Amino acid sequence: MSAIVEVRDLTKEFKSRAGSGVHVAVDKVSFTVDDGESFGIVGESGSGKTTVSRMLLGLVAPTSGNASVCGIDVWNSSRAERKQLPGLVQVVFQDPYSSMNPRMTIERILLEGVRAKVDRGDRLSEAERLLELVGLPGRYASLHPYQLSGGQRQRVAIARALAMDPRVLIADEPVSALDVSMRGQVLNLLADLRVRLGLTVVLISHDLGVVRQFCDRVVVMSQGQIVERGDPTQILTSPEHEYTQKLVASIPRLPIQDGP
Amino acid sequence: MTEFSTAHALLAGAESRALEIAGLEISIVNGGTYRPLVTDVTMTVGDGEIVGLVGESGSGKSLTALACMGLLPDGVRVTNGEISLDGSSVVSATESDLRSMRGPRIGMIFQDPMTSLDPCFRIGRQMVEAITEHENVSKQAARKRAVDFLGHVGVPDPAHRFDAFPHELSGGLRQRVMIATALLLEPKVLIADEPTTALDVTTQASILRLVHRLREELDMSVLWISHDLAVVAQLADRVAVMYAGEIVETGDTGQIFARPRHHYTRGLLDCASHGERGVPFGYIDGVVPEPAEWLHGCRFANRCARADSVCAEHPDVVGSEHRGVRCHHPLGEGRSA
Repeated sequence: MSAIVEVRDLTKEFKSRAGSGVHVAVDKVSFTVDDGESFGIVGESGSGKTTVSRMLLGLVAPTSGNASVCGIDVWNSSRAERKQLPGLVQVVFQDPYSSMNPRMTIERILLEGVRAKVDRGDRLSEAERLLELVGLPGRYASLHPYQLSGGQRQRVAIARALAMDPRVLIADEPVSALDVSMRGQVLNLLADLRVRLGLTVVLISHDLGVVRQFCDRVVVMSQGQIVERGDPTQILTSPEHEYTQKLVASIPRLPIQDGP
Repeated sequence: MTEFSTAHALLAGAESRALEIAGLEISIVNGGTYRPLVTDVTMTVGDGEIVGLVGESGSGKSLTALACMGLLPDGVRVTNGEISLDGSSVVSATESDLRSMRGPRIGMIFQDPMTSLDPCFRIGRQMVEAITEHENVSKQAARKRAVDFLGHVGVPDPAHRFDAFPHELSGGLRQRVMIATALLLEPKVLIADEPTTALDVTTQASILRLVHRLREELDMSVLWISHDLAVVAQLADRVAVMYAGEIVETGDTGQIFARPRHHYTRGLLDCASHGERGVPFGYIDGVVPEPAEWLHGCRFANRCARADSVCAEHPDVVGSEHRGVRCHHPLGEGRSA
């Protein structure tokens, strides 16, 4: 398999509020993600995991180092090349409600990025196709976000990302804002889409249990650095780095259940 | 330990029930009409006991907690049943009765610390005020106690942080300040509404240890509200599961997790359990209904695989508060428990 995402010595420094000091949010982070892989980035708040994804998406400029998707350097390539990036990498955020304009219909939300490319007469059928892709009825195209449940909104957010037909989907805490009973459906959908569409999925999460069940490989971040990387099951059962050990020991566990 | 707590729960007589909720109904009242939001909630928290109240958003657990504090929002009232705190009624208490109860007898911590910390005042001033409002002590003594409690909840350098404004602290520290403030008057009963949900797991773990320790040291009773079953499993002696405004299952923590009897509890456990790579994630189809959409029969019936015609009738809780289930077809029927 070939690498579809390459991150090398990626570093982001922010000026600290106090003035002269510098806060290193991401510190020489390197990893590659193979085509079709499901890759996890685990860490607590402030670990730098979201800043890494923002640099990959072209939303935050790195201080040094580089990130590339499908061979296109996100920050050091020509304008024409960079214009291809939205068609290659897309993102799903934690809170599907705040990432949608409440005044737009679902159809409009889904096609916002591709409006210019789809003929007016084909827009409804394209919206219906996207909704069906994520397991929602096509008639939802005429609804507004407030009429959907949190789980349904997150499916719409996934469908909107897929409208661009990307190769890589970054999911940043995609189920943290959802009720426990709905999380499984959204995660199963992501796993299913990955296989059906040959997508590469980068799952950013604080939950090692979810990452273990979803991802082929994982990196654990703490204070801007990758402290451990490898097979999720192995990291969960025998963590090596001191921080990962503390993290794993802090996870509350369900007692063993009797058979059904 | 298990034998002791079982005996403890059975012995729990009128005098040792720190918090007692009986047949509670909470409704939106609008002129002459009202719509119930919480119905028939009966549960007790004994002295020094930690009870977990579990359910998804919209199940009514936060309203139940607010009712215990006498803090229901405008237009929402207790329309039936009773809540008593160490034998005295919360439902019929006047606002001034409630003010004297809140703090020394019952304390509450919320998911978002900014709901109880005022951004305009230094945290120390807010903590000292909480003490002097209820006790006749000097400012110096109050200050010393506040600094001590900040230390107890693991705030580093408490004497320095005493003078900080809320915005100068991280989320985890603010949460600890709020917990310290709620505990300053050593309340008999602590109500905690998702207090660790927004925190990192490592911070959460230290707060869970703290609550355990305070229960031991102060014999405090805790009603811990959460949607996170694993947290409740780790913390609580007993568990009540709420769905669509009513309690559907109660039991000792060990029993609930090892042998759930309600299909909803079983479903929640499946959602919370994580397995090996590639195993599909568990979920429950559908959503928690709004009160206006509650079914007349079993409120879970439209999401339940076991539902049949019998479920068109609203089930009562069968069993005791110690081990009860509200279901016509409970799991494990006929099996020796």
